[in-house]
Amino acid sequence: MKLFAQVGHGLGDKVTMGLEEKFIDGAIFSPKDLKRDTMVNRISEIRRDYPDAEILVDPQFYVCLFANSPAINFGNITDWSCFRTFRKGELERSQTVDRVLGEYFREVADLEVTSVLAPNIYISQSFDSREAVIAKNFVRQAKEIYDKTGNKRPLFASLIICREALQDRKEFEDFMNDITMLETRPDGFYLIIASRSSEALSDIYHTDVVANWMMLNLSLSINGFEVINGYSDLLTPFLGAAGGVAGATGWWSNLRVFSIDRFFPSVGGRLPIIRYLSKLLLNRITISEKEALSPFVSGVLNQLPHDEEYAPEPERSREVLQSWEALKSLNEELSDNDVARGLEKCLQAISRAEQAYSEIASFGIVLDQRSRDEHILPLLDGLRQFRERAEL
Amino acid sequence: MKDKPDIEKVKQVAPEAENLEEIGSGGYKVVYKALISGKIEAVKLVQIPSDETDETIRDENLHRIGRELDILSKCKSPYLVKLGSIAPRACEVNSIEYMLYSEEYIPGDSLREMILKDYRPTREELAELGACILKAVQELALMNVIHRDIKPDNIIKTNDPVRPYVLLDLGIAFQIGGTPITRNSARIPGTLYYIAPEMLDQGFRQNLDYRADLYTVALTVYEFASGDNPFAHRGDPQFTTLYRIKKQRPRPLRELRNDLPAEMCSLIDQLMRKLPALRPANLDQLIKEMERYR
Repeated sequence: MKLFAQVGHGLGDKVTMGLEEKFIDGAIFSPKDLKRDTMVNRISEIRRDYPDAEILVDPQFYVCLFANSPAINFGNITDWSCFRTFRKGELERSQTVDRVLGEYFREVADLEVTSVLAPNIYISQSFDSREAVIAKNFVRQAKEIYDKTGNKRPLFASLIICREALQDRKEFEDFMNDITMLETRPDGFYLIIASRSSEALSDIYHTDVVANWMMLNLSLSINGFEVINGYSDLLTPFLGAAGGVAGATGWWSNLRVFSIDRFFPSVGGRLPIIRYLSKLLLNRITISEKEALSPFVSGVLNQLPHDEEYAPEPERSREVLQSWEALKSLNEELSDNDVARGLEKCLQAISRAEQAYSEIASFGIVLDQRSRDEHILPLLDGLRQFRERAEL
Repeated sequence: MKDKPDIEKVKQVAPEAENLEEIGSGGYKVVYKALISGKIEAVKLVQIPSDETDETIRDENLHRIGRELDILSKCKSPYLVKLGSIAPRACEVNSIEYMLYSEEYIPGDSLREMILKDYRPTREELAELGACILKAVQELALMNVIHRDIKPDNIIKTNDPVRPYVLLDLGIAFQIGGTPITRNSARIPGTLYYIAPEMLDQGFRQNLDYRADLYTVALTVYEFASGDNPFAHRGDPQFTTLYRIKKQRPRPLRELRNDLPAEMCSLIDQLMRKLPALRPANLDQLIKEMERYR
């Protein structure tokens, strides 16, 4: 399972450091957060210095339907000459979809990306909706329009799905049946599952969401598509066990969990505290928690090189390196060519986390709300549900 | 078949067919072996279900049979049965309306007959069977046709190396007759037990695609390999079988045939998944995979 940097505001040299240390395999850039010229230059530099790195650009076209929201912040997306806003009705016409795809493919052709992510809209409610019909049309048309541009780089159709849509199993399965039968097939899919807010971890760490996100990875991979998961953060190894080829995460919470909130002004506040990603707990804990737990609960520390920087506290820009390091290691530990075996490894990892949290509780150590075990049960149930539905 | 027509009367409606001899019958059809212009063919007499109160049903069924035969006439695949010299025509026997036509006669045993004789096919034979029938499904899929009635009864193993397995029927029985539920067959009561799980969903026709055939190809290979239909057992109530088709995961084929390659068994198992999206649908790839094991 590959790991990509989900690039956003505050790029600095994080991606190059991650590539240098071989924690990440590439990066997914976002037009909103970087001026177009800057992005073009940064991509060129990375390609020059790290020729094996995989570089992608998420078109972020999914905000095109939000033009009438007074507070919408498109950021630098408007630097892209192909970007414009639409009403849903306009996108119901196939000619408009074809035009959007064609214009985007022509513009991205100038960038030194290694693969192309096709634009698509955001399925914000349900798979039985106008949005879902439009989104399927984008998926179906992508390859045909792309081939006309003569670009030979791999093409990934995008799917940006609100977690709410994943909760109706019948609609979800019908949608999955549809997108696995395409006449013109892209090389793969770029999947984003959106939370209502990037702070609402329980939106993503939810049994149905975990199970269905894994089901999407499995069904697409069985049908020969490569699956790149955007904003997958700690779910990356689990999605890998289900057949995904890559996941992505970044340095801010809004680069770890996707929410359309990202395009609206934040409420502000102080910078988040620096955290340590514990492979055992499958969670990030504060530095003081790490110090408090490590003498009592063996395995809370990853015993990886970047642990040293947490004595006492790393620079903020290096926090993400520890995350990538831990995730890369988890990916390697939990990956398996056989889905059933990979899933078993994931279930064992969750059981170990569950035991560690029990141990923590037995010592009477109280954790910060975000550090607690609230992700464990949904993960466990999600993976069990996945196992049953995937008939593994 | 209920009210099976008397063979003497069939001879009257098919005077070109000599030496008529019944070789099989299903819920709505009878098949005869006959000599036509010096060549042996299979003559089929298919009942046209109708409803006295609604003439459109008869017309619809006639239209459907005509369409299916038209498709069959366009098929080039050697793994699909070819139409014979009697062009489809409507006829009446004992006041019951039938469609009469002929197909080429395929000498050999049906897989059902072989299963009943406890025949144990080799890896090579199973791979050959899978590849041949997948190629037939591929040709039909290109014409947007779903067979919907692939089962051991409808596949003949021949001695012809060019077409070692031939698929019969094109789902006519299923389409025109609905689902015959109770019939007197040896081990498996009828077509119902070779139905893809999605066909048990309400409104399945709106979403059905050739992955339903991939499921029945795999189920047929599974049964031929193991001698066991994992969902249908003699004497079981119908709803038990339907429940199994919809909900129960079959035993992995490898547990029943550990002499077969694990990957080959996994592929068969995967094609029998309940959800169509979990069945690999790339036919070129599937055929290539199957051919690897020949």
